[in-house]
Amino acid sequence: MKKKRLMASLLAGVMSLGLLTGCGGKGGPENGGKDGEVELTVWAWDVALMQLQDAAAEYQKTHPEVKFVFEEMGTEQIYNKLSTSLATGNGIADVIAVEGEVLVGYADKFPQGFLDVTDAVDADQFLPSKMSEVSYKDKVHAFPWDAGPVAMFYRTDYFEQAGVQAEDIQTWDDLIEAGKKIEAVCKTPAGDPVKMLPVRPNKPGLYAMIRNQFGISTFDENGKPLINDERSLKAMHMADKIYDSGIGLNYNGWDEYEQTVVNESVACIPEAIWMIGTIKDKGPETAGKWAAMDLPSIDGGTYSCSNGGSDLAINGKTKHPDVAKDFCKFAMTDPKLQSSGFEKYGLYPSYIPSYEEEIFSKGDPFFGEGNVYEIFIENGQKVANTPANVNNNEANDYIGTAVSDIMLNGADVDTVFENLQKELETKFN
Amino acid sequence: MKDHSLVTRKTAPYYFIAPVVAIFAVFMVYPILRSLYLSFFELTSGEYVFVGLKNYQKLFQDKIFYKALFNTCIFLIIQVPVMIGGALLLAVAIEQKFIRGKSFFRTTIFLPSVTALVAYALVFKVLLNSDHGLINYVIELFGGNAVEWFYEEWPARFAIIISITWRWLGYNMIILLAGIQAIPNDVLEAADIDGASFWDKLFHIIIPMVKQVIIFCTITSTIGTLQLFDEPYILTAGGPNDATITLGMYLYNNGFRYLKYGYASAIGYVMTVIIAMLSIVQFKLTEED
Repeated sequence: MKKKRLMASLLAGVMSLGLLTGCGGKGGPENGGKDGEVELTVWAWDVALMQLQDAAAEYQKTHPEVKFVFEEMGTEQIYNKLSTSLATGNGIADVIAVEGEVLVGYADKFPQGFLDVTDAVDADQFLPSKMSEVSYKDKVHAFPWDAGPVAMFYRTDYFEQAGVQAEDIQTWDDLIEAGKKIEAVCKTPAGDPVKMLPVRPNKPGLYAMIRNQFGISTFDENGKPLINDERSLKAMHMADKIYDSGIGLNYNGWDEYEQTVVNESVACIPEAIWMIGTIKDKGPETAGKWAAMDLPSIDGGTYSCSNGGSDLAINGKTKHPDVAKDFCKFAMTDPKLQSSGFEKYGLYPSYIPSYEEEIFSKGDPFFGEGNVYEIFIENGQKVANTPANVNNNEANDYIGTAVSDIMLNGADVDTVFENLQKELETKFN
Repeated sequence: MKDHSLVTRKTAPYYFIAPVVAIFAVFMVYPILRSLYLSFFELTSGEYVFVGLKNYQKLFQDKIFYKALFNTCIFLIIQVPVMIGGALLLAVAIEQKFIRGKSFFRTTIFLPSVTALVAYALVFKVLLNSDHGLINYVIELFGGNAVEWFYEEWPARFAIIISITWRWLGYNMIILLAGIQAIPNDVLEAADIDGASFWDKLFHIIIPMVKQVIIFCTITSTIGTLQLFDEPYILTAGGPNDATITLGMYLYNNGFRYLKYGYASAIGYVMTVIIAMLSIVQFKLTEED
């Protein structure tokens, strides 16, 4: 690891040297280049990159002087480079896509790493939960990009076979009852009984989903862990109850998660809107058999939750801060681009005015006659505005361990969470 | 007359090794020293702040660190002897006169160690799947109960042990095979004439004569196991309940996911000390004769 890190920074160093000499030869883009020509380097991964390429093509229509260099980088690649070079700003791109959950970590460790875009982001126009994701210590570190509002996908054919009505599933307890009926009646194409939902018993997933319905996160705004909070305990008890009822299908990792769609082994998938892409991709023969409904509720929970999504940040030491800012703003707020990005790549925008676009009222015939997006649009605005915390990543790993202790080893919820609370308090005092 | 030119018979070798020394210094010596330095610092708000021994103090109170250490020791104690023993038996078996198609066996047994890490780990994930994996199918075929490979702590540890043994067995076998082939034939023939059995030859001739090779394999495997990362990362993600988290994985998490570079460096240094101590012990064991 240590070796790798150094190699990376050395490489980055060598590459930036290369850049410098390159600039020297051409006279540099700022001084002496072709009149006013500006070059922006962009780092992003697959769909995010394609969307930014589309945005760049549009942008160049009005700004022909701006040239783009796109480099496809996986998330891990980007993070490795960020952690070695963000402090100096050398050897990293001007515009960089970053996943929402890791952004705050960089913002905390490298306060000057990303360009301050507070003045370019109109906070009222973006989903509040995304705004809190990009804001840290009185600075907006990135443009909010795609969001991941969550609802519950379900198989209408399985529901019908078992005589279960979607409207009757109001609470998580109802879900357990319905799950038992479905398992008793429905069979997968391979002949196994159909399970109600996929559960990963060694990750916070299900617990965090229910906890978020109470509008709280792992930490409060002062950084105090909320593990032994009454609401958090209630959520864990419910998640444990669902697991113990046996309606869940265990999965271990993303590949097995996709398998639940391929094998048609579950009747419901509570997941973010981007799951639409996976369902269509992995289960093309299930067209017309899916629909979406709201998540089952928990007594006292009035919020919804989200999962995933990215943001677009600018290198704090970029040579062209204004152009980069202007381009990002255009890419993130042009309604047409938001709608085509959603249609083509499944990137659900966090820019609220874009929901007026036609696509969001049309729905997708793969998911039956109703408008499948409606519930996600509604839930996206019901996601609680929880404070970003630097330690979220690490705390989540601790929670995953506690969840496996509870679900798999049968440990007591209250004891485990009480201990975890103390552990996190001492760890992050 | 003295030759005052820069390149002489005496100095020439230094020019030849200079590139290697330079690369070694930049890519090995510098990172090693730098991470020692880093382990006394922690990155806060864009600056490295000196924290003295605090990272080490925290480390020795860190439950997950001890768990990772425990898991690593378990892998070491079970996996290394099983693998070296297995590799030795296979190597001896392949050298038997009645075996035909020796090169075929040599190649196939060695083949796993050239597979891509991620690819083979993913295949094992499918094989070990508790509902429709081949391994559970076979166990049930023989009347056993399906094992929850990834959802129970000890089975998860064994899942890791099984997969790393599969991958590295052939590699160690090839090295041991080379050692066995170097044993002079007349020694074995003399033993045959004296009426030694197969086991006599194995324990009194072959093993003592390849002892150095066995020690070499044990040391490299020990270091490999102490640095174990890929298999738990892909197969079990360190779970369940941190049952398969290793020191290498915990280091990665701290350095690259939690961005605690100082703490990660401290873990790295503790690992280095452990590896160095184990290697010294193993070297001492061989020095006896």
